[in-house]
Amino acid sequence: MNQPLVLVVEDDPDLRELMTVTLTNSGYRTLEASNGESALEKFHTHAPHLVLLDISLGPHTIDGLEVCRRIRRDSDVPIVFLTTHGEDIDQIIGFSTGADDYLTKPVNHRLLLARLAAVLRRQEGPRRTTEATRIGHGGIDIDLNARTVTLNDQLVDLTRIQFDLLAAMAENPTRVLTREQLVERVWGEWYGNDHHLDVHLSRLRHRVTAAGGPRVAHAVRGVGFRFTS
Amino acid sequence: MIDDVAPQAADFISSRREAVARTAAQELRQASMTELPALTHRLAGKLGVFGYESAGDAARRLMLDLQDGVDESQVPGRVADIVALLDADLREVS
Repeated sequence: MNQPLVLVVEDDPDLRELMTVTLTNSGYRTLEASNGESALEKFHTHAPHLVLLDISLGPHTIDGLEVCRRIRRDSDVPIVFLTTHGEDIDQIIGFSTGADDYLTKPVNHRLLLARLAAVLRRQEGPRRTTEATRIGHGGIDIDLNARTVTLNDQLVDLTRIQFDLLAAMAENPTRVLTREQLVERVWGEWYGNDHHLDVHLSRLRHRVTAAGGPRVAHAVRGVGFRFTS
Repeated sequence: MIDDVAPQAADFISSRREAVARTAAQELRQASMTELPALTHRLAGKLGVFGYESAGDAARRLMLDLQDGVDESQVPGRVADIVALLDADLREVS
């Protein structure tokens, strides 16, 4: 993917321009939107490769969560939320908004670039160490090519990260995967903290158990996580 | 934070830094109680990027306390503290 196009949705003009400068100087092309309506219009007009989306876009427009939901109606484009420390990350990542990742403001530029690169890399396809295309354990069927998960023949709606985490553990059902192994498998380079992984694992468990399935990720204290069916 | 950005971004930050602090201080002085949650939310994610880490952190703490229902009588003093932090940083710059 040459010079990916990033839609930067941020209501603060200084922050918006700073992110644009940072991205442009790192080889990205950018589009800017200062409110939700403009974001949706530019998204549908220009079809960017990634959306960097502030959750709070001010009082006179639809917020970032709603923008995300509307984009998700007909697009699987990667969406990275910008949040402010103190917002409920679990709620932001989960509940069907369909975001792929989040960054907490004030945003470190290296972290920003690393996360965007990782999200775009995931979009191009996960790295596979096995030739298997389907994995089945205890009623859970994972189709690695179609990137779908069914539980007792019912489709389970997972985000891209949740799918990659589940697939990583299910491909190695007898192994305990360390945090570092999971992070390397799903994100590649890592500049975040443990809470980030915990949030995604928590949401994965919630999605699967809500569909009547097992907890899937059993924490092995001091070591990591193991697939459970 | 400023040291941790690309040269072009650092130039941008340097060019806007003073204006960001002056605007933030003015907005804080003029904000009503109903406007403060949104304003502190915005400043909490912004000031640190422009090198005002202490003021940004104070804005974040006030934002969280406003969410939790802080005693309104404390708010003007908290706002004045953030403005004072910005003013102090501005004096260092000039």
